[in-house]
Amino acid sequence: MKTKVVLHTVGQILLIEAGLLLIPVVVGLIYHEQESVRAFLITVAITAISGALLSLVRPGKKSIYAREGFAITGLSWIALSFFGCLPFVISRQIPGFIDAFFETVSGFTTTGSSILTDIEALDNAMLFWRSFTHWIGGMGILVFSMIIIPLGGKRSMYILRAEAPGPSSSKLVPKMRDTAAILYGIYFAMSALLLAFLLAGGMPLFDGLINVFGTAGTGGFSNHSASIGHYDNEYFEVVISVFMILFGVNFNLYYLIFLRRFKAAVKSEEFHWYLGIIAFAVITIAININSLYGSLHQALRHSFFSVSSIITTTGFGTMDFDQWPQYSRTILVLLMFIGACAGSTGGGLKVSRVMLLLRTAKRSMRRMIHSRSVESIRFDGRIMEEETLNTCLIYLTIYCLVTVASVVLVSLNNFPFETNVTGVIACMNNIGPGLGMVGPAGNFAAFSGFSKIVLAFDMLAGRLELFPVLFLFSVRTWKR
Amino acid sequence: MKIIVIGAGKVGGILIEQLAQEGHQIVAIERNEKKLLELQNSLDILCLSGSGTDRNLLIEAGAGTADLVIAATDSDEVNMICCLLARKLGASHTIARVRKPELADEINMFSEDMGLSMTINPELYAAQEIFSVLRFPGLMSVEPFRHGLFEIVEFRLANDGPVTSMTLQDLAVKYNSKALVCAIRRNGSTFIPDGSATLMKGDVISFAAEPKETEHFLKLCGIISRMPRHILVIGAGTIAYYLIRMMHGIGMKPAVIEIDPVKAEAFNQSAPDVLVLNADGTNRDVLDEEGLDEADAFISLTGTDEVNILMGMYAQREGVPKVVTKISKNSMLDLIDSDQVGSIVCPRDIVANRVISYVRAAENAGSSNVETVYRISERSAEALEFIVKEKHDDLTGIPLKDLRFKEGILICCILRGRSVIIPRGNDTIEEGDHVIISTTLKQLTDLSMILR
Repeated sequence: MKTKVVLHTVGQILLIEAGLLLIPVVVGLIYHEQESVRAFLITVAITAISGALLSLVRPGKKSIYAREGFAITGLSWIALSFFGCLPFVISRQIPGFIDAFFETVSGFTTTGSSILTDIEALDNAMLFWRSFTHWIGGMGILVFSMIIIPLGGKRSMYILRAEAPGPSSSKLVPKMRDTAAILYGIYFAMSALLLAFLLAGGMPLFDGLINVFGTAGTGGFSNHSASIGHYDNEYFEVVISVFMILFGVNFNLYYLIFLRRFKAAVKSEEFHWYLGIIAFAVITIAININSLYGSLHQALRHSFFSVSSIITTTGFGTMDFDQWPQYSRTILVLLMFIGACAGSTGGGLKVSRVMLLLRTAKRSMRRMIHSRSVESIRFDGRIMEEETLNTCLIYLTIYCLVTVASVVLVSLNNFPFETNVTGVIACMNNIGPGLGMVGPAGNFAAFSGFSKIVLAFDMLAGRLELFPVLFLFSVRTWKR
Repeated sequence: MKIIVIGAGKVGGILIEQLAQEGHQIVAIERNEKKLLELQNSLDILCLSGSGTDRNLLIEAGAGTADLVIAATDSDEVNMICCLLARKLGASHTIARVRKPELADEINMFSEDMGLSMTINPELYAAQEIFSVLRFPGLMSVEPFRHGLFEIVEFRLANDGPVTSMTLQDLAVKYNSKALVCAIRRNGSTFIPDGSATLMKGDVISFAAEPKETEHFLKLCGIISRMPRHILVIGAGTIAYYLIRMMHGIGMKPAVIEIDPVKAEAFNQSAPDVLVLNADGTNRDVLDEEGLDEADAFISLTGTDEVNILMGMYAQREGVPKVVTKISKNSMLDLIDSDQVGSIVCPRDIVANRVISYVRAAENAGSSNVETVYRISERSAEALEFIVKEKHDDLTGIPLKDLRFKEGILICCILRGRSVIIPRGNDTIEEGDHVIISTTLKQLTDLSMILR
């Protein structure tokens, strides 16, 4: 393991974070929040100094490989969260360190699970930073950094693969930097568009920004305890739902549209399945909850919002779906597993992975009858390599193992089973709310420090797709 | 530039690597998934899996907006089709690798119809380089500029002598030498010398001169030319074929040893005047019998680098005046020394040189254009030929002594029309001149970049 390169790179990332931390300072100044401004400035100093010190470690001419790629990704995100939670701690607005760490990890991993019992009590600067972490973490801090500094050099693929979600990742254009710039360009443009729509509907600017951050990153933090339900505005709900769905689409498709290759964009199988699943869930849940809301219109309104929110793993809420009939609750939990499309800001297993797993399963069953048959699995017309399919299966296995282990550890806290299981699922898949105690009307405050650490680990593992975080614990990774 | 390279084999692979290093946007198309994965992981390029003859794949790769498409697969015919397709889709320039003699000879006839901007023939270039090196047995390489009007010659200074006893400036004056030493590689690092430098035994020296001055300078360094007559060639492949053709009629007597009877037979049919032997060229007894001790030159062209290296070492040790070893894998280059195996010829390197020259010339729209690029001194320095297309305020018409150059630049000569000017302080660079410089700086694309 080329430790020097890893440390040096993490240092660079911290320097970038220090830069980003200056933005909430501006917000604090606008709202005359002295304490918060002070807390942020202190954090900037600490982060910048740490980053500078680590950057002093000379990487030499060493190239990075898969190992270093994972380590850089895993360590960067942990470091990011560690330093990113300092403003909350220093200003005493989230006094417990573990609590602040949990909240910040929830921010960067775009989970949206909260330990806050009273969101509105926080300063605007704090709320801003809390949601801004969603925006940064959604598209990826490493991808963002690649625009500014040449991370990994020629071998930047190792880093992209470690951070970008999906069964396989590829560049849009030959140079990594250009690919990163294009992705962020699309991301920024869509965010701006959403903001325009929200402002046009009469939303205040601050709220608009908070909700844009939460939607674009598919995170789900709001500055109101009632989340999007606070506005009780159907226009806002529809706009946000549509954009949540859009941010859950593979960004490669947007690039294809940009290149005017509309046919190729529309032909994406994953996209069809994604929309199909959404349609099915929205309609069946609406029918299921019809009796609760009187009119089909209202039922569809809330069903549409909740389904979009859950499948894209955003986690915004308009209604407490914990109170809905069992069928609806179950479908929503199922959607939590499926997640959004690969190459988007959403979490979960990803639609394409689920498709590949199902197709692999079908093929295996067919082979049991026709043992001599030769069959390759196609996706979007391309033949999938066995290597990729195997990796999907392995991923599912490890995913289940981590989920089960986490549920066991969290159960030590002695809360109801449904709370434990959905709590872990909500964190692993970066959703936000689960069912029971951690449902839309609840929060994660009551968990012990230990449980919160386990859940924070789950959030990171889910966002980074397991390996970057798991490898940090393996002795082999660190050996020469 | 946006460059698509089809085929990541021996030639394709090195082109992708070097063009990526030059900073271009590269898309690599290759059928072998493993090779592709390796490339994707180690270079900042885009890799697509499939065949270059697949129209949809070419569209996906962006052939329509590509500046250059290079087809370097194993098959000449496939290469030509890829280029034709690419051109039809809208690529600006295309280069196809064409190695078979039957096709290479006729290629000029239909390259325009096929939309080919250039063809690359590694085997032919290798044969040309070997041939030029045979002219002067003591040399490592000879790179011609302007159709041989001027050349840069590289050799290792084996012994002390008059050249090691005085500075380059004194040397030029005392012996009236019109050759300019443009790069010296000593103890693993390369520098551009000025008049006060002194040559040392063991240096790898690159100098620039007109061909008629070359011999004079070489004599000073203790290297005497003697055209080899009895030449032993091991391996009857395509390079051997091209080489034998060039040797025809100028008094060289080559003997080609080939272990495969079918190949030997085929070679004899295509080159009836040459002595072809069906034997194992790695067998010492065979070499002994065929007169290795009397050979003037030994050229190892088998398909295996390791064999070539060993045979080169053997011949060198046996005292053959000129030994040439063909290497196909770059990785071997670092391990061996030209002391041990004589001149090293690497067809891929030569091809890479040509393509890089072409690309540099094509991309520059400034007031000067790169016409030719050679990597010299084991690729640590470059010799470039610039054409000064138009007047430049800071450069043209100003005496050289008044110009301030960057470190590591030397103007080797100015070619004006047919005359060769070895530059002195009062000489100037004018519009229309071809300027040859040697430099340790990389990626110069405009002559004005040599100024501070």
